[in-house]
Amino acid sequence: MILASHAALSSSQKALLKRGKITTVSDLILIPAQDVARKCRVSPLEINAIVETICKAHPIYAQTLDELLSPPNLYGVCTSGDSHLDAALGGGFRTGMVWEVVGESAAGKTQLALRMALLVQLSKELGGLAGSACYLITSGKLPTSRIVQISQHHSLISTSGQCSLDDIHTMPIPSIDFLVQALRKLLPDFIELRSGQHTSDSTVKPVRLVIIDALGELFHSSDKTSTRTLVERAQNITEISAHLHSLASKYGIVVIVLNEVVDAFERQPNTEDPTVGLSYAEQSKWYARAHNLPGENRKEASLGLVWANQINARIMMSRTGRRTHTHSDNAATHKRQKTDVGRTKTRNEETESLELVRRLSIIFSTVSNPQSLDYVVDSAGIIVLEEEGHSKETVTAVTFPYTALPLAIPIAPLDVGCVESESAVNGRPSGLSLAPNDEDDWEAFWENDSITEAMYLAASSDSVK
Amino acid sequence: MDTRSQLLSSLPISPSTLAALTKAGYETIDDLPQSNSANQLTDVLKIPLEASTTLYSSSQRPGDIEGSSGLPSTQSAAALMGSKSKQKQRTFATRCSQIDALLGGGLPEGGILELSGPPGSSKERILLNVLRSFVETNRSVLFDMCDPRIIDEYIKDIPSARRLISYVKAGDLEKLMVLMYNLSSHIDNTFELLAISCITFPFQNAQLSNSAKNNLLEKIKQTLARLSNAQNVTIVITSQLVTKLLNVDGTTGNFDSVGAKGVMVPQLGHAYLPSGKTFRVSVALDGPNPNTAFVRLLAPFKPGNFKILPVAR
Repeated sequence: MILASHAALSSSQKALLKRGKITTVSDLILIPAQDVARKCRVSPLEINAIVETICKAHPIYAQTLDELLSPPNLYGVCTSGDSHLDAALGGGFRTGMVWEVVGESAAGKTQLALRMALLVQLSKELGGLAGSACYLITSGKLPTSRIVQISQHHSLISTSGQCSLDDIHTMPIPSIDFLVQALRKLLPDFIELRSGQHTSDSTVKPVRLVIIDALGELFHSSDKTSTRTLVERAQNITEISAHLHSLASKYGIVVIVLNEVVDAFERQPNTEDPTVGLSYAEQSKWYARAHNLPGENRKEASLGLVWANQINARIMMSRTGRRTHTHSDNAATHKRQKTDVGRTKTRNEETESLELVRRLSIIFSTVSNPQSLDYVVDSAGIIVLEEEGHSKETVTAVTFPYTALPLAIPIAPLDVGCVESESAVNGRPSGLSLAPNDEDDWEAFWENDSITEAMYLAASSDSVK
Repeated sequence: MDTRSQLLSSLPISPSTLAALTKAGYETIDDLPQSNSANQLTDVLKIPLEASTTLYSSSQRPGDIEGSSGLPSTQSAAALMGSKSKQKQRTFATRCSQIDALLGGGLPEGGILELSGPPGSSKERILLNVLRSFVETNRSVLFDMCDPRIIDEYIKDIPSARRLISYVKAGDLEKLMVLMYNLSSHIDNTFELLAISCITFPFQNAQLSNSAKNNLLEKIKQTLARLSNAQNVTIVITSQLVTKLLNVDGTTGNFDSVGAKGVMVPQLGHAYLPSGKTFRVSVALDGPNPNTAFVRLLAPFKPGNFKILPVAR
């Protein structure tokens, strides 16, 4: 909010703020009053008075839970297209949350996302949100023929007649900068536009689903990645998250972010000393990996703690190399269309009755308990297999020998970015202005920094789709 | 880590000065703003300059050395709260017997509880348990930033619960600070529990200098102190963690420290929490199931006496 046009301030107050270049409420509230006073060349008391006026002009507006949850409201849930998966998710994909679907290439993440882009279009009675989808894609094109195939073979979608490609809007995001710009302006503007159009024409579907396919792809590190880049990227993550959460709650949107896995290395655990902190090695095992099947824990979600802190739920999908006969009471599963030529294994072409069984594990979620399910991918998308006799054992974590890497950093690259930005700020000599937009000082600081190739031995990301 | 705090009432200042300080929510030396000079305190609180100066000179801050000498007899958090309040000290259950034990029986009314932990830990669940304890006894709650639906699912079996719970969303730093200011300046807040989940979210995306950030944390501390001391509001806050690298010798490392280990600590540190009223509990994961966890009391800190206990459901 701009102070110059704020109704609660007098013109002399506006003038002195303008003098000190204090333009927004943020400037006023977040910069220490002494500094504001100095910039405006008035006493702190005058600034305190202005702060008081502004805060009084924005009093606490609290709604009771009753008021908040009575209709109409933006809270909703979209079916995943599979009743078992819906149950595991806590009813389906809820709005106002950022969901992460992480896994190896060809595990089925995109399959899930593509079907969601259709399902969101269904009416609420049928389990959708009567909305359209924005599909942000980092590389390649939207696999439209696969979307058509799903829409024809998934009974709920095909019988409804409510879903089409027209309501899936694609946006390319080939780099982090593109994504950040899209989230700052393009996407919010588009969502606002559709929302406005819907108000005057109810056949226009407002955006109720945003998919990012795939975030991890944008953040690959190489031996040329500098510390400065890592710091910036850690900041990019939190900015991206802030936009996603804001859009999710403001418009009642389901946000699904696809992410990659990296190889997990057994890190040397710390001796636990709670006075210094929790062990990164020990904790990251539990929030970044799944432990429901042997071998599942060999992969961990990429992007570190800094990203894990941003998401409300983490769903991991893995190929497991197991096969099963399809059950007779499932609809005959047709071979699914390949989304990338040459990538899909064709082993199962001769053995139509044996399906590659994959595993979906909810690692954490604010709205349901951790659990684990088997699924297959067919022409209609993801099909969760019912339990049927094979017992669900939770396998204790399979440990494998610690691979000692020279100078291996025991934490994810983006978390290095967080560490470095903290120590950079803290390491500055006192007395200097610590404002991060003090360009010259920052430039000088980073000039002296370098990062060695060996840093990234531990951080090889899974090779891409 | 928290240090024990000396009560302002034990310092050589006049009753009117003490009254002004108490009204502003300052109870112990650590509650006083650290970076402000005596002049500023005078300006803001309208107490005589000599009184301010006395305050600052007689408050012997231990600095970085914990448990240092120079402080007169210290008091435990529970004792401080007990001696202050004339009302009967209620406690509220977290429904995790181990945490209740760490807190000495439950969270005391007017106390402040910080729950920190990694993604997937049950810190939010514990906050909801406390919320439930309030609502069950017909007390009202103000919560900031939790998902209302999750709260609703938790309390919907309690009659009239929905009307006892009010919601604000201060999702960015500007809104959070305006909220803090307004909470601080209201003398008659109607809620008895303030629940914030989570306080670190608005800070993580803010591009702030260190001094600006510390200034904001100080303001939050003043608000929390005022709510807790002057209005007996109980406060529960969840906090996320940030990564730090530690050298073998325990000093802070950076990326090229050989043999450095990664640790995770609460993102905002303890600067935003009034000492003497605050319990800081760390909730760690020890398996894929969040219902088993390790909980530790980070503050009040007793050297050599931290508790590591598994949490039952």
